[in-house]
Amino acid sequence: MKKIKDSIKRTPMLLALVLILFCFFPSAIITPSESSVNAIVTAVGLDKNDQGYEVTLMTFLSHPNQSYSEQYEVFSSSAPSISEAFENASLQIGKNISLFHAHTAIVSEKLLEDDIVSSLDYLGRIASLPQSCVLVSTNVTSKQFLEFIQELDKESDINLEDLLFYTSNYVLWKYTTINSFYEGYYSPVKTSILGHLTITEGDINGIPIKNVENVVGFGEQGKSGDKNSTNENSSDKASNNDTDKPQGSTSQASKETEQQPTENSKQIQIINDGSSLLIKNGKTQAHLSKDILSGINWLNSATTGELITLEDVIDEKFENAKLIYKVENQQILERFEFENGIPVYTANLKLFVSLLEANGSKKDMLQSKKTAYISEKIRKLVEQKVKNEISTSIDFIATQNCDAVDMYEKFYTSNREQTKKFLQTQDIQPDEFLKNVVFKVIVSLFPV
Amino acid sequence: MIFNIEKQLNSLKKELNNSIDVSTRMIKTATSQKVGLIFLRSMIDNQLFLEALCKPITDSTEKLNIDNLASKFVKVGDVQKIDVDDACENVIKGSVVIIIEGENKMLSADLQKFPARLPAEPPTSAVIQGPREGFVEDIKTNITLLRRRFYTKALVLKELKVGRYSQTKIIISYIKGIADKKLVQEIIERLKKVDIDGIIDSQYIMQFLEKKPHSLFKQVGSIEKPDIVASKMLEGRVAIIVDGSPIVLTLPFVFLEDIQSSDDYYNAYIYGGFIRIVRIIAIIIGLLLPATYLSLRIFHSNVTPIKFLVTITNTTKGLPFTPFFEMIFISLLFQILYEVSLRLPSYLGLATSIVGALILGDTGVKAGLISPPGVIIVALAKIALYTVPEQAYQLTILQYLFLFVGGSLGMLGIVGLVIYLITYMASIDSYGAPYLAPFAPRIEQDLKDAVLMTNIKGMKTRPQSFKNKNRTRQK
Amino acid sequence: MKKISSRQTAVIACVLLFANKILVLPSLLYEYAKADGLFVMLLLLFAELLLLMIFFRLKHKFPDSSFYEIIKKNTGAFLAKLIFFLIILYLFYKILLVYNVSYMYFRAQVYLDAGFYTFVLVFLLVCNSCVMRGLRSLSRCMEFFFTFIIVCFIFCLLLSIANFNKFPIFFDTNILKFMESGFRHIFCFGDILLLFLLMDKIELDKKGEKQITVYVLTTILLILILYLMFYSIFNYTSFVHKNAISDIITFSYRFTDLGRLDMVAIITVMFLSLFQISIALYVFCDCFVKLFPPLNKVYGLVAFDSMFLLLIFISSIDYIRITYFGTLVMPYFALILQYVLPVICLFFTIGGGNEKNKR
Repeated sequence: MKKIKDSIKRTPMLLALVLILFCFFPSAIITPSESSVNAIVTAVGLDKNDQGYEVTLMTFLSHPNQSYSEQYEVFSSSAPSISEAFENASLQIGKNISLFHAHTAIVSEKLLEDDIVSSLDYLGRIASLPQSCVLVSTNVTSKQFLEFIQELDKESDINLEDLLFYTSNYVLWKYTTINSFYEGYYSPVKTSILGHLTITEGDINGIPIKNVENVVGFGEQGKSGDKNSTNENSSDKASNNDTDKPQGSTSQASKETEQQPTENSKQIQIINDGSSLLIKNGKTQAHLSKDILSGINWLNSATTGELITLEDVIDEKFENAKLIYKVENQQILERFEFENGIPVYTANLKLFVSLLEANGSKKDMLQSKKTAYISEKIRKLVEQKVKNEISTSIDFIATQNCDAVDMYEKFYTSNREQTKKFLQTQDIQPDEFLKNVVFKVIVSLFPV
Repeated sequence: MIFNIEKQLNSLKKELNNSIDVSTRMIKTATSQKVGLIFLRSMIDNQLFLEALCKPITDSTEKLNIDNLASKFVKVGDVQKIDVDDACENVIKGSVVIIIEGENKMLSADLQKFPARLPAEPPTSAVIQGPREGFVEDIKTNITLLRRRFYTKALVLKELKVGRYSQTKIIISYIKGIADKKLVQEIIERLKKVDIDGIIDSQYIMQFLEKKPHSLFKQVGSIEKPDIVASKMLEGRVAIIVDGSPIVLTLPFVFLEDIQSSDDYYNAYIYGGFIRIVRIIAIIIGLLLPATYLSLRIFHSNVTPIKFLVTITNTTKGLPFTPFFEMIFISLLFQILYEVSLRLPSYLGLATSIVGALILGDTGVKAGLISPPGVIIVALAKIALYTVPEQAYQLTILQYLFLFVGGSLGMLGIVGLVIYLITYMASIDSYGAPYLAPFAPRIEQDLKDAVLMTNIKGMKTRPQSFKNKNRTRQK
Repeated sequence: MKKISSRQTAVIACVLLFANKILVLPSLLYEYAKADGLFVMLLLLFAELLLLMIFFRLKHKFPDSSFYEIIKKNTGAFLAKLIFFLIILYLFYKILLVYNVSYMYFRAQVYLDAGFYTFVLVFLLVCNSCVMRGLRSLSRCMEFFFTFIIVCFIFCLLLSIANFNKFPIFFDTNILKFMESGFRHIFCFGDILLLFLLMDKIELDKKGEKQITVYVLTTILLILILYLMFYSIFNYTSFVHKNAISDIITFSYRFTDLGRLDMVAIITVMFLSLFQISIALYVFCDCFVKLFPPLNKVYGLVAFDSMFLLLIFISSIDYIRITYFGTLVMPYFALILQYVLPVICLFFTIGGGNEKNKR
């Protein structure tokens, strides 16, 4: 006893440490690996159906082997609320849902017909879902979309993450994440842009998916995305398609990847044409084509690599030629002023361009080979084209009352009082501000 | 008292318990004068005994007395007059005690000799460049090795005897004018207080010198090479040489010392700094990697990169053990193999390595008992600890402690234990030197030779983390 | 008495300055002051700097006296005891707040399924052991990790540059909202008060004062950069992000393949919160010993642990209640102890020379 007392006196904290370890030791020994009790979700899909919401999860499931291959399966579950749907999904898989590794959240167009914020509430609230998760919309149901993606992932090296990353980096020039969506939603203009991927049938050039028979309901109900998938009916259909599939609305890829694609499957493609959705107050306001986006991106200094196509060019070197210039770098000097109480936006756009392609009759082959070639005529044509694109795009979004170029915020930052006064005198809301802005764009070209 | 040789020899032999190696001899000079000799056969140089002692005595034609015998006839280095009371002690130390008829004093001639190995490179302090000699068990050789490096009268060697039975010779060595007198005094006082039956090795003494003897952390420097001891002494440290031990102790000691190697100073200083960083990283890996891996698997799979998580999950699927059990199992397997290969003869040790690496490791993985990431992580962590061989044993214990904490409490537990240990280490004071100097407390001057070292030319002062005289090393 | 060096004091001041400011506070300030939360922070950090100057003056005037002795000498024993009793309550609440903020943070970020006991036991064990080892060991430990903490913090800030969105709109709130924002969260500031309470254990010279000032200014700068980055990255959604230092990194889509780089932030916060609680607990025990002279710090620890466990387990005090209480009642309390008390102490320094020189 004396010995124990002495040792307690000598090293009380060490003993406390040992005691605590002793207490936790049994639980440490029996605790399994977290990845074996959690389902690692990499993409989440949200749909609306008769029951309320359908949640689709692209989940990594481990297969005992000594490789690094990733094998994903798609699970879905329905319930009146999203949290309950998650709960059901968890029950179905027999694992906790871990959203920490989710990089994409997909919402169907149908869901975007109403205010999506109420649907996204759960995803925004739970801390486990990274706010850097990309939010993307699709024309089909998100469940179908994820099933296509699963097939695509198995067939080729192309995966959803790469597709979205490329679109964000080289088409939109911004990340359309959950956070950026909310940022737009909470801004005075209440506008956000959402990435959009289309799945369609036909001859349009896209990424073909072969084994579409694994995708529940596609083709039967078309591409409208209105398929109401519930636990029960999706389960039935799943088992009709593939007898090896587990119970529940799980779709598992066919192991026979080398089988001949059916006639129907040949036509299914994912189209990533760079289009996106314009969201206002959490609802779809309009589709933004790549051309409209290009017009907007002329006012974004982060943009590079845009292509300018000129048709039927006639100048001293070319005759009826089609010229394609690439913008190597773009600089923009902006001024936000009020002239006679009217907001005037002046942009001095400097484009550093190089001639990428020239098709048509050439008077001087040697001269036309130069990438830095630009004539006065071409300069005018490019300037006109850029101005037209900007004008078309701005007109388009302004008519939608969607200030996707943050014009209100920029004016507010530089001329706070005048902006407030302008809103008061015009009796308009910040989202209507863009309509009233006068654009003055000066385009300067610098061949490189 | 006038000696009767035979009686005296018998009495001394009896006093030495009639041990089998006690020899007594009676020799006569040319003039038939009797001279008695008593010695331990096992402790003396026989050749020297015959040539330098017996022969001059038997050949002598003069009448021998204690004075002319000492000055003229006994041709060995160390001869001294002793009283009868000291005779046994001298015999035990390996001297031949000479008794002359009619004298009241005896003569002790030091002929001590026992088997000793030659200075060789110590296995744990091998260098690519630089001196290769290491200390041996013979204290005289060790003193010679040290003396060779200091041709100065400032080198002080003080002798103490510790151990009731062993009477082990301990030499306290320092450089006068550099080492702090109080430090020397404190060490001597501590050693004087040691009351133990025997000192078998310097590690025995180490525990008496440590201010926190129950601590896991080493608080006294242990060095096997004279060049390192010499450099420590030049910094103002005190060296303690123990007879029978090839390890010399130095004080004060700071944790950083074991991360430094003599090689660092013999190579380009930039490389020296780089390799110290590597050692520190190795310690961190060795201590924390298995624990971090375990905590990532049990608690924090959410922060693991997905590709890494996929590999781990795939390779650990279907294992019969929980992650914690698996890691402990692999760690113990390694430890057993290490112990076996250390104790077994070298030819068997090789076989054990093969068994360990190929059969237990590879087959274990193939049989689905252990996972490849687990094996890699434990192997890497275990090997990493041996970049600092002097601390390997302490760090191994800590590695297990971290493994337990990582598996039980996760990352917060690991960070908590790190803080717990560093606070503890910060509280250790080794004879005036803060254990974590020069980092905590931060001593700018000493940082020049801490991790990123400067060249010898730049080290103008002695360490300031402990007291020493004459701070200037070079002008 | 073994004193701590001026560098160690500087490190303690810096670690304390980070307390409660790098996780939830940016979003809380945004709720009232929008992006002007940055200026609320600037104003209140400036007040910390002024407190530091008062501390230097007090230390210069009474180099070897404790804060308790100074108060006792100038106001009498009863008032000194009363003030120290209030300080003990203040410190207790401060520790509770740091603990709860850290707890919520770790639960959200890395410990999804870990039990409540894990946190309580780790925090109590580590902080108790730090207090038992003494201020010198604790400050040395903090000094040891300080470079690591600062490097990690800067690393987080550098990573966040990749997520820079746009400068927020400043000066968009009225002065009332601005002041209210500062006042409601004033409890998260005033950490320099702890230096006052440790003043007899600090060795300080002119060079040391300069060193501490430089360290504190650097920390203030780093905190302000964090706030600027936070508001620039999140803008209108700032109020949603309750884990500032982590969120500015996890927001990045670019680093997905590298895993959660905010692990760096998580480890930094682990170190910071354990150090903050340890130092506050040490001061708590020191005040306890001064208030009840026959008792030693072990009793202080026992008292704290009992109160803490009682509140945590029985009353199940959580972060929401703590912060609610903090914004409702504590501002008045904090205002008096954090700012009025040091200012009163400033008057004690007027007149007379250095107390040590007098002796």
